[in-house]
Amino acid sequence: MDLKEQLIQALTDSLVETCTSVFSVVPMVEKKDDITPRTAGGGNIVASLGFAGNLEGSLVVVLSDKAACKVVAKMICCDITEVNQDVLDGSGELANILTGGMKMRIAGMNYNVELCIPTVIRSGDPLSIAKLGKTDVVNLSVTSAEFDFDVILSYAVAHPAATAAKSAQSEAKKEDSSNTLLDMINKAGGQAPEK
Amino acid sequence: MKIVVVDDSGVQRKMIINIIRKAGFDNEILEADTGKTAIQIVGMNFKDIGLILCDWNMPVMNGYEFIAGMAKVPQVAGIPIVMVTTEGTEAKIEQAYAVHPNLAGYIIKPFTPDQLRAKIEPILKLAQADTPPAPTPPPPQA
Repeated sequence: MDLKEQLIQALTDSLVETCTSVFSVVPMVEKKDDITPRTAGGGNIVASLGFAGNLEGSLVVVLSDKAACKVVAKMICCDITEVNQDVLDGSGELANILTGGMKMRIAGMNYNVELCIPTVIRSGDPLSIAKLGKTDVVNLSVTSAEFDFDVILSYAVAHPAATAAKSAQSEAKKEDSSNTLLDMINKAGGQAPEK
Repeated sequence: MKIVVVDDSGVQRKMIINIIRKAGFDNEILEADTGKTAIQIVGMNFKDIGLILCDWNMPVMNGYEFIAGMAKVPQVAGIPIVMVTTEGTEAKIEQAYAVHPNLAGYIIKPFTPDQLRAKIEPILKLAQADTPPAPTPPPPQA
């Protein structure tokens, strides 16, 4: 199996697991050659999550307003009829869960990636997604009894030197949170009860 | 005894809180959208916290940095923390337990309500058993 097929398999497995465990629906996942999402022409919500490591790129989830409302309503077990902050937030969480699932599955193939925080935008206008740079693209279309959406994965294998530099930068950025916490506890002047 | 839910996704926090409530726990639940906010919450409530559920990838301060800080401060190092995250690789799980050896659990998203409930129920029941009951008010004078 080449890299593209491995990624399609990993992402498909992640989609099926997410739809069955979070939404209790069994999805049909189909690979499309065209990267134009099905929802083009209507209201769209686009949730994107970048990843970097020895494989880099982004995963984009494209949902119609109606599908996004249904997806998030399932997540938090309530009725949602209009796009609100929860719908945008939940669409980002969907991208996060799907990318995390893919990451876990490709780790066994020695592809190690770090995930970014999702970005979500909403457009009332027709939407098109352009292919940027020297990336390969996979478009999976997800159909279920309750909602449909598209997942577009763009990726490229990173140069090892660039990967090492980014990893060093990431280590240097880590913050020590214990000093703030210790200060607050000392000011409160108390010991925590014995556990 | 309070529960802290740390996740930058408001929807994810709602999902977790729904599961806790449906499991029958009516504890006060405090919410944080970054590790930094969680530090503030823990600093102000550390004597009353019985469980922290914490995401990994968050802006400003991530969950790994948060639990690393918690592990270094003896007064809070014993508070049970369950990671609830999409970071499910063996390397990440090992990294989390290495920085906080007393982690009470590690749940990988997506999870089912049963999976989360099975992990947190014993911790909350144990914490509630250890919490002294609130003093009973004296009976009204006849």
